[in-house]
Amino acid sequence: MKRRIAIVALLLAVLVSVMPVFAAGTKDSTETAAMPTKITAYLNRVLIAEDARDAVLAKHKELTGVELEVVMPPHGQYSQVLTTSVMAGDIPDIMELTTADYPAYAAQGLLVPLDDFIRSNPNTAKLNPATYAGYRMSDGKVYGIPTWRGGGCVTYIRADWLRNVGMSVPITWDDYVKVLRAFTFNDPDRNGQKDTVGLAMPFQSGWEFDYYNRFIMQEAYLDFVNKNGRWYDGFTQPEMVAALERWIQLYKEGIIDPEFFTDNTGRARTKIMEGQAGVLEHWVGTWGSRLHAGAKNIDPNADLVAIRSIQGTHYVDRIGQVLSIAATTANPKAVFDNIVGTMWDQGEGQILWTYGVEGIHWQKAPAGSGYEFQMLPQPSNPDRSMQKSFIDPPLALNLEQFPVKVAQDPRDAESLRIHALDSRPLSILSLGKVGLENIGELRDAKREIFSKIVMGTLSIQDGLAQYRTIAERLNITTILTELNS
Amino acid sequence: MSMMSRQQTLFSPRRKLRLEPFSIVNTAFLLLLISIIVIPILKVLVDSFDGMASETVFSLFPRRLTLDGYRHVITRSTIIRPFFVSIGMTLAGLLVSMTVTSLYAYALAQPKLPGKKIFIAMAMITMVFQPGLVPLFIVVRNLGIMNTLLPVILIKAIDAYYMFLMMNFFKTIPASITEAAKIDGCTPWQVFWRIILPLSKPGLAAISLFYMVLFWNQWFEYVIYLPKATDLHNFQVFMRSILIESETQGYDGFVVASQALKNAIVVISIIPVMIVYPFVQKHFVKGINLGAIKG
Repeated sequence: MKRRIAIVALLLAVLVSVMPVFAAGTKDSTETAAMPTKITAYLNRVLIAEDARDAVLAKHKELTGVELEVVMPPHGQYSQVLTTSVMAGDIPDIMELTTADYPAYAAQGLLVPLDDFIRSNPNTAKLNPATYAGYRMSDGKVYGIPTWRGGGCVTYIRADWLRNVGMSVPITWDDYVKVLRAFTFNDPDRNGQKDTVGLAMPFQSGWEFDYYNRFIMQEAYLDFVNKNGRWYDGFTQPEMVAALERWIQLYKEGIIDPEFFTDNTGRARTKIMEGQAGVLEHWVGTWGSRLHAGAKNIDPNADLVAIRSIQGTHYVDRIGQVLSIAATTANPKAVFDNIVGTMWDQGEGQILWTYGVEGIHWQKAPAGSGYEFQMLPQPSNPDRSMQKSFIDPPLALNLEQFPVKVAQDPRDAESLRIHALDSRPLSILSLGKVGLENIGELRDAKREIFSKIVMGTLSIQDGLAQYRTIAERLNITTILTELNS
Repeated sequence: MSMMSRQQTLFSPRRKLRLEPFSIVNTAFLLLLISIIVIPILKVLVDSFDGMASETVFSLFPRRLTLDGYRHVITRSTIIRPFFVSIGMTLAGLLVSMTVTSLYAYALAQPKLPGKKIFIAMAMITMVFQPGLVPLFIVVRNLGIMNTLLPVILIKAIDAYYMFLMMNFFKTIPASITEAAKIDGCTPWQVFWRIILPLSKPGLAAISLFYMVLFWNQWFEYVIYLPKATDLHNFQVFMRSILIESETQGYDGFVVASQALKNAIVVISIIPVMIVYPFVQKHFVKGINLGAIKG
């Protein structure tokens, strides 16, 4: 008995002595309200170390006098690594946040409102407020400034297949369906095999699925949608019925890839590049030329082009990633001015954040070329030219004042032009407490019921009725009230 | 019937080959099983040399032979450091894990260990419950070992399942051998080092292979616990960064994140394990079976 008590007492003593190890700490800030000498940043899409990221950071220090320490987790784990670090109390001064994380971080008071900083900084004050209006949270404040214009997706189509089947670029929904049929059944690649399908589609794209399906969805949205300043659950809106009928039509006819339910964006992209599908809605910009190059690698006759949206449809202007400043930062204004202010200064700072370092990433273009800069070979892959250091040149927030300074691939430029003509902006989803608790289950229910309706397991009416029951259980009324408050 | 006469009977030209139904079905089944296992591996290998590789098309030979995938990885000068980090960390992790696991298992294999049930329960709890990423991160951070290689080894230093395998293996060693050694004057450590471990080679070989693969394949621990010490990232993180970089920046020359590149990365990643495995193969199955059968 005494021995047992002694063992228990010993274990308790050991446990108490190691308790501090398990205590979550808060970031010790040694910075006062004075100008920081070092800023820590979590960035998702900055250059990798092999592409001379250190040179960019050194140049930033030369320009601003402040050392920038960048942590760049792998893209696929960025959100997880950042969130783990933040929840453990290891919070960077400034961080790039995905649009999934941004509302949650803001709601938990982890971020500093930026409105005053934006107005007081001479560089950001010149930015068009429309570029960051979509990031305004329900309290009316902006907690993040976009890293560049969100861009979005456009439809890419195999123009060589169109020529082979004797058709032209679709203008209406009926034209579109006819093209998809031809791509599926009329041997568009002329190889004598029935090995093609009209449309590739990445259903496994999370809440971004609405970016990839505009021709089919048209005015409908699977996720929440903001109409005239009010939020609605897109899945229960009247236009969803017609959208579902279009989905069912494509699936029944077999002119949409039957594997689309399990395809992510990578697989859908692979299918159009490998000549298994003829149409895909995908991101604008450099993807215009990359998709084409990929397709041409398999089929030298491939000609992948971006097309305007068909009648009654539009593309969407994505809510892109933002830069936000942690509420624990000692001098958030100084951090904002140093990073964000420099980034949009239309001068050396913006050149650094867009094109990189002269002599390493770019050089002055020859006189008469029509451009100011010429991108140099990528240090990690000299077979290819640098594209950017952080900001995509054609997606700059202040593009009108700071136009693209390098030659652009015509396909990239065309995709951007089309998107600018045919897109509408989205609003950021600022969920409240109940919304954050239930959004995961709500979206899972939508996706499951959507799948069953498209595959024919459920009728549209039964499926939507089933969803309404689930949504009520998950407090959809409260969620919408929170969104619209 | 003698061996010689049996062989003569078997290979006699007049002997009729009798195919029993079971043999036919069994052979067919095993061939099917082999195909299921080999075909995906073969596809990875073939696609790594195929500039026109497709995810959904299986071809026995590359349609357009290319070494671009391998060239793009191997010709990077920055490959050397991560490679040696992986080698070093695999060996270090193996040493630490085998030491901790075998000592813990040997202790639990003793019939009269005080507090044995508590120690077994402690190990079993780790098999059922996971600490969670954030608590583990907090512990590592508070110990002051962030951005060092220590958490990569310490977190995986012992696996309860492998420990129980070793424990069961140690229990198969007759007690009479250890008693005889003690009578001859061996200290407990000498018994363990000179008697028990040499007799446990099959089990040790099996467990060491598991740990080796575990430490070689690690990458998430580097990403989460060494976010700022990128020069200490291992080969798997390096390979993954090539793949991600090719998807985000893209490059000419071949398809963005082409199948050739992806599969070349897979092949290069498994080469070290493939080199080591033949040396431990003979102990592998025996070790697993002996450890698993005894409860």
